[in-house]
Amino acid sequence: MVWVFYIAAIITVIASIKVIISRNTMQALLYFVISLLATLMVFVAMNAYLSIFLVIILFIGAVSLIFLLLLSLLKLRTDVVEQNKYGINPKIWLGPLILAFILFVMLIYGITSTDYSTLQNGRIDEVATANLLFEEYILIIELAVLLLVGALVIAYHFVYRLYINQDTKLPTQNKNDSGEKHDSVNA
Amino acid sequence: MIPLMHSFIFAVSLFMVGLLGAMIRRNFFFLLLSLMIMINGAVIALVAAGAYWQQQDGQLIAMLAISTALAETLVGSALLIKMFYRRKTVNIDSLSDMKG
Amino acid sequence: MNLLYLTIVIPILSFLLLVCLGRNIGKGNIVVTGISTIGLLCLLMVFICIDYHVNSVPETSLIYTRFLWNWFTINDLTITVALYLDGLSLIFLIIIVFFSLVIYIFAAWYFSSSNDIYPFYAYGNLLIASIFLLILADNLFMLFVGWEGVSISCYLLIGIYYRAMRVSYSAIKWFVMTHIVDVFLLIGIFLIYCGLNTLNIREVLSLANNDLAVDSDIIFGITLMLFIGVMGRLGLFPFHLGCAQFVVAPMPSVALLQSFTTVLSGGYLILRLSSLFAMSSDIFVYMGVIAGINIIFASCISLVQNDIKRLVIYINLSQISYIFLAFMIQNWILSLNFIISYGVTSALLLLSTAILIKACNGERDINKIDCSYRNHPLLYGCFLLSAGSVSALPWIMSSFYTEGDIIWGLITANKMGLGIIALVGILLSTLSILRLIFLVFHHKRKTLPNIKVSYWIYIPLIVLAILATAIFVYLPLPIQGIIPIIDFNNHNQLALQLLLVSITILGILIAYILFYHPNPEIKEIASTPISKVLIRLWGNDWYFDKLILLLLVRPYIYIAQLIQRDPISKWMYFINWGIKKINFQIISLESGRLRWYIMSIVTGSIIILFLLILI
Repeated sequence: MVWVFYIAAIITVIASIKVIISRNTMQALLYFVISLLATLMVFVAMNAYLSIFLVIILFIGAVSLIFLLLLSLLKLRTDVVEQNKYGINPKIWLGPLILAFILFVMLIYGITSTDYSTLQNGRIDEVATANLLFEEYILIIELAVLLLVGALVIAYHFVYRLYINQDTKLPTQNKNDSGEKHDSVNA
Repeated sequence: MIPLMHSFIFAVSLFMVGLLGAMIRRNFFFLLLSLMIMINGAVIALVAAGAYWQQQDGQLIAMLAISTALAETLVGSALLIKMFYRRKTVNIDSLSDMKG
Repeated sequence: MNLLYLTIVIPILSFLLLVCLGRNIGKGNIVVTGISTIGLLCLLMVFICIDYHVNSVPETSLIYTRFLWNWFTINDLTITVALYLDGLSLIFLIIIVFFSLVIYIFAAWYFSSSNDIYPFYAYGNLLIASIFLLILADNLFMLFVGWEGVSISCYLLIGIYYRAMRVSYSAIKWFVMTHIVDVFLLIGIFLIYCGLNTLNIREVLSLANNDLAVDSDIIFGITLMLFIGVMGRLGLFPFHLGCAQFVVAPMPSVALLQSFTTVLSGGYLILRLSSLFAMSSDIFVYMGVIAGINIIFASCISLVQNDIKRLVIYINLSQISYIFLAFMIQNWILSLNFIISYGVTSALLLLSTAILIKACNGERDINKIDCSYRNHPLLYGCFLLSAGSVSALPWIMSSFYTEGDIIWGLITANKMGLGIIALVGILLSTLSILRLIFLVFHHKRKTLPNIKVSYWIYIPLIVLAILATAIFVYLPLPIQGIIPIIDFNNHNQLALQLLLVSITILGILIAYILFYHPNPEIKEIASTPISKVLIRLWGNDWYFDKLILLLLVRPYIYIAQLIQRDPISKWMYFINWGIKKINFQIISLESGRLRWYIMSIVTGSIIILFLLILI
C-alpha cells in the first residue's frame, strides 16, 4: 500500500500546482477535485476511513460544488485578471517563489531533523471512533456545526443585501471607475 | 506503514503550493482555491499524525478543519459575489484602496 | 504659657484680615488693627514673662515645650509641630515684639495713604508670625519653614510700592538672591540629618556633642553651610546685593527688615546652634575673614553715597559684621548683647532718616536736602545720638561697651588684623554718618520749605535713643545653660577704651575738616585722579554689580541662548528623521495588496522558524 501513497501524493502535488498556474477557471476547479481525490487515496493508504467520508462530503461535495456554483453564477470562464500587462510572469512569482521555497526548505529541515523513533506507535481501536465522536468530542462537533451555521448566516446576509440592492436600483455606483472595466468577465 | 516524515513532507509541499498560489494570483477565485489547497495540506498532516499514532483525535481535528474550510468557502464566495457585483471584477487588488 | 501658640496665630489672623479687607476699610481702622495686634502680642509677652519668671528655678534655665501635632512621618523621621521656649527664645520674642511696636507706631505716621499702609501691616504681621515660628521651632524643619516665611514676607515688604517696575524687579532680585543662598541652609539641615539622624534641635545639640568629633569634616560642612545661609540672609559681602535692594522699600519696612528681622533670624540660628559651631574651629576663620571684608567693603561704600537711604543701609551693613566678629571670638552673650544694641542703633538711624526724608518732601540726595538743625532740634538730636551709637561714643553709648569688648576679645585672641579692621570700620562709619549730618544739617540751601513734623512721632525715637545709651548695656539675660558661656577677661580695658576714644575724636576731626567747611585744599585732594577713581569705585559698590554681571549673568544668558535651540534635540532630530524614513517605507508596505500581506506573514514565519530551529 505504500506505493499507493507515493503515487497519490505526487498526483496531489502536481494537480495542486496545475490549479494555481492554470488560466481557465473550470480547468483549475477540475484539477482541484483531482487533487482532492488523490488525497482520498492517501487517506486510504493511511487507513483513515472517517476522513475519506468527510473529504468526500465536505470538500468535494460542498466546497467544490460551491465553487462550481460561483463559476456558473458569475460566468467566470477564463482568468482575465492576469491577462493584462502583468500576467503571470516572473516579476510576479519570483519573489513569492523564493520566500515560499525558503519556508519550504526550513519546514522540511524541521521535519527531517525530528527524531521519530521516540514517538511510539499506539494501538488502533476501530470501534471507539464513533463513540469518541459523540462522547468526548461532542463539543468540537457542535462547535464545527455552529461555525457552519454562522458562516451560512453571514454568506446569506451578504448576498441577500446585494440582491435587494440590485432589485431596487441597478448598481451604477461604479460606472465611473472605468479603469477596472477591462477586467470584467465575458470578454 | 507510511513513514510519518514522508507524510509531513507531502503535507508541507501541498501547503507550500497553496501558499505560493495565494501569493502570486490576484484572482479572488484562485485565491480561494489556493486556501483550500493549504487547508487540504493541513488536513493531511493531521490525518497522517492521527494514523501514525493510531489515534482517532487527528481525524476529529481534521473534521473541524474541514468544517472551517467549508465555512470559509461560504463566506469567501459571498464576498466574491458581493465584490463582483460592486466592482465588476474579481481582482483582489481592486480593493487596495481600503488600506489604512 | 499655654497661650504660647497664640503668638503665631494672632499675627496670621491679623494678616489674613488685613489682606482680605485692607482695601476697603479706612486708614484708621487699619492702624487700629495693626497696632492692636502688636498690643495683644505685648500683653501675651507680659503674661509669658511673668509665667516664665514664676516657674523658673534660680541658677537653671526653664525649658518649656508644647507639642501641638505631628506633621508627617517618613520611616523613622517624624516632623512634629511643637513650640519650644527657653530663655534665648524669650529674649528674641521680647525684642521682636518691642521693635515691632515701635516701628508699627512709627509707620502709622509715616504712611499717608491707606493703600500703602495696609500691605505694610499685613506683611509685617506675616513677618512677625514667621519669625515667631522660626524662634519657637522645636526642630530644624519647622525652623526652615519659618525661615522661608521670613523671606517671603521680606519679599512682600520690599515690594510694597510694586506698581513701579523697578521696585518689583528689586524685590524679585532680593528673593532670588536669598533663595539661592537658602539652598545652602537646606543642605546644612540635610547634613545634620545625615550625620545625626534627627532634626530636633535639642537632640541635635546633645548628639553632636557625643557622637561627632570636634573639627570633623561633617561638622565643618554643616557649620559652613549654615554660615553661608545666615550670611546670605544678613547680606554680608558676596550677597550684599540683596541688602542693597532694601533701598526701594519704604523706610519702616527697611527698619523692620534690616534692623532686626533678618539679623535676628540669622543671629538666632547661630546662637541656637552655637554649641555646634563651637565644635568647628575652622569656621570661625571664615567668619572673621568675611566679616573683615564686609566691614571695609560696606563702610567704604557708605562713605561716598549721596542717596541717604543707601548710605544708612550700608552703615548698618557694616555694623552687622561686628556680630560675626563677636561670634568669631565665641563670646555668645556678647554677640547677643551686640545684636540688641545693633537693632536699637539701626532702628534709630533708619527711623530718623525716615523722618528726615518725609520732612524734606521725599528728597533723598544729601547734597540737596536742606534741613537746618535750628528748625529740627529733635531730629538733629536723634541723628547725633545715632551717630554716637554708630561711632561708639565713649562711655555714653552702649555700643561703645559692646564694640569695645568685641575688639578687646579679638586682640586677646591674637587676631590683631581683624581688630585693626574693626577699628578702621568704626572710623569709616563715623566719617560716613558725620558726613551725612554735616551735609544735611549744617549747609544752607535754597529748596522747598520743609513739612512740619508733629512732635509725638519722636516718642518711639526717644525710647530707642534712651535704649541706645549705656544705661541698658549688659542686661541680665536668662540664658544659662542654653548657649555656652565663655569666661571673658574684662580687665585692663582702659588702654583700649582710650584707643576707641581717640579714634572717635579722630573721626570727628577728619569729618569736620572734610565735610563741614571744605576748604580749597581738600577739594584739590578730592579732585586728584586717585580719589576720583576711589569715589567712583565706592559710589558704584566697588563695581560689584558689574562684576557679577560679567562673571555670572552674562555667561548664564550666553549659555541660555546657546541651549535655547536645544542642541540635544538636534541630535534627536536625526532619530526623528530616521523614524520618519522607516515610517515612510513601512507605510508603502501597507499597500492594501493582499499578496504583500501574505508575503510579510511568510517572512515572519520564516524568521520564527529560523529561531525555533537554530536556537
